[in-house]
Amino acid sequence: MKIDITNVSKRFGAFAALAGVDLEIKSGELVALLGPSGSGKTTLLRIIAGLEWPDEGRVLFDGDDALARSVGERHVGFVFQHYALFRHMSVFENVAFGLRVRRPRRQRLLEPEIRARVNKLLELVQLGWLADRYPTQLSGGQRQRVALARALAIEPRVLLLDEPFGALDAKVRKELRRWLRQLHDEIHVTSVFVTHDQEEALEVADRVVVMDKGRIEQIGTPTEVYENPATAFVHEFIGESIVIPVTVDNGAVQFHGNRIDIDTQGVTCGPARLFVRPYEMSIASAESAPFQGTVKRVHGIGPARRVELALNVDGHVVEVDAPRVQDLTVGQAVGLSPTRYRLFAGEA
Amino acid sequence: MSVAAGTLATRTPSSSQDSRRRIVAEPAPVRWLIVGVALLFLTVFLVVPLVAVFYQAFSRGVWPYLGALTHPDAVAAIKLTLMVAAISVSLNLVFGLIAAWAIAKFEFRGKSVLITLIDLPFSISPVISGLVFVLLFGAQGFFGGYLQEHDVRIIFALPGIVLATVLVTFPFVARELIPLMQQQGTQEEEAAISLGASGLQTFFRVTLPNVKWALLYGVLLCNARAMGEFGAVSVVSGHIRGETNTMPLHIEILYNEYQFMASFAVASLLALLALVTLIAKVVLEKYVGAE
Repeated sequence: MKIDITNVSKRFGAFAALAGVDLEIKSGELVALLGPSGSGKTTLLRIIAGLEWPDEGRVLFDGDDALARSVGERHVGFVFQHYALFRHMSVFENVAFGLRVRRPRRQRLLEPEIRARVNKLLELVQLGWLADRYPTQLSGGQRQRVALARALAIEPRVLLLDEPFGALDAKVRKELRRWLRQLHDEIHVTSVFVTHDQEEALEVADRVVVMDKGRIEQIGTPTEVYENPATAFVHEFIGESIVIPVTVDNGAVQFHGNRIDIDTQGVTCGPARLFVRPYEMSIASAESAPFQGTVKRVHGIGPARRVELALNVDGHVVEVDAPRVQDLTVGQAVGLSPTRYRLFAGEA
Repeated sequence: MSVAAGTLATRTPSSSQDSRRRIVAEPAPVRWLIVGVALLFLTVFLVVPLVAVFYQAFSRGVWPYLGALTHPDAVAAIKLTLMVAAISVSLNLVFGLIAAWAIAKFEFRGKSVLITLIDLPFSISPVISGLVFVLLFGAQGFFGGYLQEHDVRIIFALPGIVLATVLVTFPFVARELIPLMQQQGTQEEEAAISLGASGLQTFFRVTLPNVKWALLYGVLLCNARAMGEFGAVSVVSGHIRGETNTMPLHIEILYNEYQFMASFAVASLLALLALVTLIAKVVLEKYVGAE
C-alpha cells in the first residue's frame, strides 16, 4: 500500500513535534525514520498509525483519506518499542487477539481457522514451540517477534515499528534486524520503522528518512544519505565527520584569514563548515596542503590507524584515518588535504 | 561496651552467609528488644481483644451462642448488613473502576482534584459522612419536604444506610487500582485498539484482566469496611430494631442492654470476617504483586 503524507504538523503545547512534513512511501517498501530523540520520528509513525492526530496536513492510504479512519479501521500492524504484549495471555492468544476481536462478528474466522493462522504466524517468526508460554517467560528478542506476529495476524496494509530493536542487547539486535529484512523480502508488506540507530537504518531499510527538529532533512537510499548528505545535519548525524569551521569571502574559502584551496560548492559569503570523512582526509607534506597540523596521538588496529591531529592556528583537534603503511610520529608537523568534502553554509 | 560484647558473642564462625547476615544485623539484645516490643504490642492490641471476643461469645457454651445468632433481631441485622454490603460494594466496584480508569489512562483538566476527592472519605469523620445525608435528605433537610411529599424514605431506611456506606467505602477500590493502572500505562490498550478491538473489547479483554487481582483485593477491603462501618451508619439508621440495625449497631445495642454474651456472639462474626479478609489479603497480595 502506498502512503502519501502532505504538510503534516503537530504541536505538543509549545513544542513543535512535526513542522510541515511531506513524505511518500511506495508500496512494498521498507522505510526507516531516522533521527535523534525529539526529532518527531515517533510522532510521525503514530500519526500514520492513527494513535495520534496531526494539527494540520493530510495522510492518504492508496489515495484514501486515512485521517477519516480510526486506528482500528486503518488495518495497520503496530509494533511497540516495549512490545506491549498482553501480559495475562499466552503467546498463542496474543497473536490470536486481532482475529478474535474482528468486527463485525460475522467476519470473524472460525476457531480452527484462527488456530491454523496463528500457528502459521508463529512458525514464520520461529516461535511455534513457545505458543503456551506467557510474555514474562520470554526473552526480549522472543517478545519482539511475538509482537511482530501479533501485528501481522490482522494482515495489515502497512507494518509500523517503533524502535523495534531499541530495548534489545547488541547481539540480538543485529540478528533480529537481519531477520526482519529477510521477513520483509518474503512478505513484502509496506513497512515503516523508527530508529535512532543509523547503522540499523542503513542496513535494513530500502530508503532512509533523516529527521531533525520536526523536519525531514533528507530522503534517500542508505548509499545516498551516506555518500551525498543534503545538509550539515545529515553529514554529521550519519557516519563520522571531521568538521572544520571556515569562512567564505569573495568566492574563496578562508581558514583564519588564509585563503585555502577548497571549492566553495555554491556557498556564498559568510561562515561555513567543511565536512570531511575521516578516511577522505589525506596526510601529506605540510607546504602545499590547505591545513597544517601536528600529530598528537596515533592508535588503533586494522587496515587504518586513527591519528589525532591539532590544527595549527586554532588548535582544533581532528581525527583522521591514515593507512597503516604511512609513517607518522607524535609531534610531527604535517599537512592535511581533503580528497572529498562538502561545504555547508552556517555556523555550528 | 556491653553492646560490643554482644556483637562479638554472636559472631560464630559457622557459614560465610551466616556471618555476612550478622554483620548487617543489630546486636542480639537490640534485636530481641525490637522483636519483643513488636510482639507485645501485637498481643496486647490485636490478639488479646480477638481472643476475648470469642471467649465471651462462647462463655455460656455453643447453644446460647447459636441462640444469640439466630435471634430474629440478630438475623435481621445480619441480613441488612449483607444487603447493604452487597449494594454498596457493587456500586463502589463500578465507580472505583471507572474513576481509576479515567485517572490512570487519560489526561484531563481537574485530574488532581479528582484524586484528592477520592481520598476525602478517608480524612473526614464518619459521623460527618452520615450527617451530610441527614442534612440533605432528613425531615428538616434540603430535599426533606420534597421527599416527604412523594413518600420516599431515605434517612432511617435502607437507602440512607447504603448512601452513607458508599461514601465511607468509596476510596478502597479506586485506591487499589490507580497506582497499578498508572504503572501499567496505556501501551497494551493502544495495541488492542490497533488490532481492531473496540473500546469495550479492549476494556474487558485487556484492561480488566490486567488488574483483576488488585480489583478483587480492593473489593475485599471495601467489603470488610462496608460490613463493619459504624459511625456514618449510626447517624442515618435510626436504630430501629429488626429494620434498620446493621450488625455493628446491633452489637452496640445488645452491649448497652448488658447482654454481653449475645453482643460478643454477633461481634465474633465481624471478627471472623476480619480474619477471612486478612487471610485472603495475604493470598491475594501474591497475585497482585505478579500483576
